Amino acid sequence: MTNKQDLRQTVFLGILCAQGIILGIVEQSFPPIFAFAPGAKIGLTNIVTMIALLTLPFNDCIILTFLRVTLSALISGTLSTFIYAFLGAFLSLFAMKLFMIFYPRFMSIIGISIVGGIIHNLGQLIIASIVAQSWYIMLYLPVLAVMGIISGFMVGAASYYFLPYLNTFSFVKNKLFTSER
Amino acid sequence: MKQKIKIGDILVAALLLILSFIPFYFLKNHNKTNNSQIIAVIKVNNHQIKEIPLNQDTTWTYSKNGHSNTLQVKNNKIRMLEANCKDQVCVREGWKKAAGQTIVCLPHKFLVEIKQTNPTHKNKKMNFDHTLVNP
Repeated sequence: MTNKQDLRQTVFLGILCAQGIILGIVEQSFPPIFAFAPGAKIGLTNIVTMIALLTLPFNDCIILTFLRVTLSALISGTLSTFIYAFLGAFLSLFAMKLFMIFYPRFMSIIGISIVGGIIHNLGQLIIASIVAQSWYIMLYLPVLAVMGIISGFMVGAASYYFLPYLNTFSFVKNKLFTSER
Repeated sequence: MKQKIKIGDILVAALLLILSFIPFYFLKNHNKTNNSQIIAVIKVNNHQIKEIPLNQDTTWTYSKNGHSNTLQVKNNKIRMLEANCKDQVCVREGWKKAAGQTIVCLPHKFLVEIKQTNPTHKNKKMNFDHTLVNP
């Protein structure tokens, strides 16, 4: 019985990974929406990370993020975009995991994804200032933080509306009930 | 699964927004020294290409691989006059004059940093001693 659960979780992880890669490609094809803040993105792939954090154990989230970033870099990207995406994705994953202790009580999904959006932008700025060897690039941080709040709000709302459809999975159902209490 | 935005969300978002102004504060305090020449250092792909002093009016164009950026210096100020990058963020940034300000053209990896020549170790040391003696 537990074997079957494990299998289902692994399949679900694979589905999420594929969705994340597709969302990343879709996002690259958008024109830059926030034209006055270079480097700011909507961060649609954060939806996948958000769902994984809420449903899967944390080890699987790390595996998922690693696979997603690596595969999407192999499909469409260069080494530099890989480094940017890697640090941003992992920093935001750990930050969101940190803020998950407030999850059912003090914060909602939207707040956690806002944290993820801001920290994602912070990671990208850190890499940018290491590459350019000039810490003055960090002066973009307030602008990118505002962008992170806006995009995090959108991502959080999207994953909030997506979550009820996951209740059909048995293992997800247990997880959601325990996290709601 | 009824859920609304909770108070913690707003608190955390506001806190992170305030925290994001920290580098602003730090980097501004660095360049309050006077009486030295202000120059613009141009870096492309992290290699320093040229230094332009801001006290004489010029225009200067850098072009390579179809990427071209034109800088204009006037009245101790500098701006990106034109660039053929796709987002034109660098052009819209307008005039810059104070040390510590930057103009970045991310698509071309083109960075203009305004700096002061002679950070003068003497000056810094004197300031340091002064604060040590009269805290």
